Amino acid sequence: MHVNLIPQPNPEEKELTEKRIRLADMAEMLSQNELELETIKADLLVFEERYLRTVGVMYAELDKIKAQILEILARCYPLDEEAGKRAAEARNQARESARATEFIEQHKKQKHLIPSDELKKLYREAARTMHPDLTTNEEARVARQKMMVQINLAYENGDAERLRLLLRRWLKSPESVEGEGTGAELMRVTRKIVQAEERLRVIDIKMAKSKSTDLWLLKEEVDDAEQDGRDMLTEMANAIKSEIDAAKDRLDNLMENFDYV
Amino acid sequence: MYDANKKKSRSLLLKPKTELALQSTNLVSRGLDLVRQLSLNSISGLRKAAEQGFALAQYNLGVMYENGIEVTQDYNEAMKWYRKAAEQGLAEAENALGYMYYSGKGLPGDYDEAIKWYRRAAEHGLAEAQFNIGFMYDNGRAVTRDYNEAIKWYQKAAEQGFVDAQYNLGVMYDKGKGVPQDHDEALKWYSKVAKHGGFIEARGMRQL
Repeated sequence: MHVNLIPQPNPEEKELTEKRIRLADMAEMLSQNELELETIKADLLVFEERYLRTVGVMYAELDKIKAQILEILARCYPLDEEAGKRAAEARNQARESARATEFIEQHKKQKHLIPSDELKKLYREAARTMHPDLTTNEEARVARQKMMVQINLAYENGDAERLRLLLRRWLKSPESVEGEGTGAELMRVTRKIVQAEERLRVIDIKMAKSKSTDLWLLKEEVDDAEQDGRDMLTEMANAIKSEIDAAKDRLDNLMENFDYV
Repeated sequence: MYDANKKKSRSLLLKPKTELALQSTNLVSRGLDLVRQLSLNSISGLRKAAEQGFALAQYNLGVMYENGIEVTQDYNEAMKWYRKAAEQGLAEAENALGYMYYSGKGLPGDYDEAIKWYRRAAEHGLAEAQFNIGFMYDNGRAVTRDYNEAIKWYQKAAEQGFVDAQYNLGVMYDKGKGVPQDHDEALKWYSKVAKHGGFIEARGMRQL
């Protein structure tokens, strides 16, 4: 009797193939979402700087004048505890506003840029290749985490060259190939998928958190208005400017009178 | 008798507070407050805020549509936005919606619906709505004419400084409607009206 054996795909191998496809999808999604998260962070940094430069400094000036006004009033009414308290509060606020805007002075050299498409592409490739959640080897994981920090930093600095270099170096020194048969490989692939899923959840939470901050909401308001042709940051600065002018008048008035007190 | 229900077209736009006091220490949250106030200064900003569910913006948008400010006058749109704001309990919107029903703008007039919304606004302490209810009792619309009730509501509104109510209250005392005729009391309310120096000639006062 002659029996032709049709090669049956080993169920384990079949599962491994399916899981590998799934893992490739996950890696794709992971790199995409890591990129989105980093982009949000980068956009926020750019916006914060722009905001503090145009509007923040105006608030700082306003707070300084308000503090001076309340200081004088407190000195005019030394027995009024409330006046003293208000002056102290105003002083604190002026100090805090000044500190928040001084921060941008220190970071003047480090210009934040809006990431280019080229940079985004490089980032995705790097994340897909070196993501720490796409390995099951503990040693490799630690190494990849370090790489990820460098990748994020390079992206934040808009340094495409650095990203290319990191990628080249990584590809030249591949991680040890993990062998030991289909069963072991299946376990590793499954584990990688679970890790990737966990990380995706964490990214979702981080993104939601970033997007619920006042800074993000402010950025959205400004961006939306920009689409309608309104320059909100300038409008805000102008609104505060007129408050500053009013406060200055009041301060001048008080100073004149204070001479007689 | 002065009928504010007929003559008044809502021109009042409620403005959110603009005072930037020392209430917040954070530069960003202060900016967020400010940008939201500023964005309400344009029709597109107002519409966006209204669509996001801010009652004040919905009411203001209703006023724009009712009066054709920066948009084509459209009573149905006005109704729509007043209703959304009213359903959130904004007294001005409740009153405005009542007025739309009262005056039959954009739909057949409906005094029952009108007084229903006036009552909600009055419960929220809005003088104009209290006056409107008084007026409906005064003239027997949606309710049986009842001068005592009318005086009660006029009184509430008048005490909040609502001029139309002060005038009508003066008339009630002047003519002895629902109260014994009392020229001193009438003069008291007419003088308040005259002090506003506004829209009403002290017509009643000259007759006294």
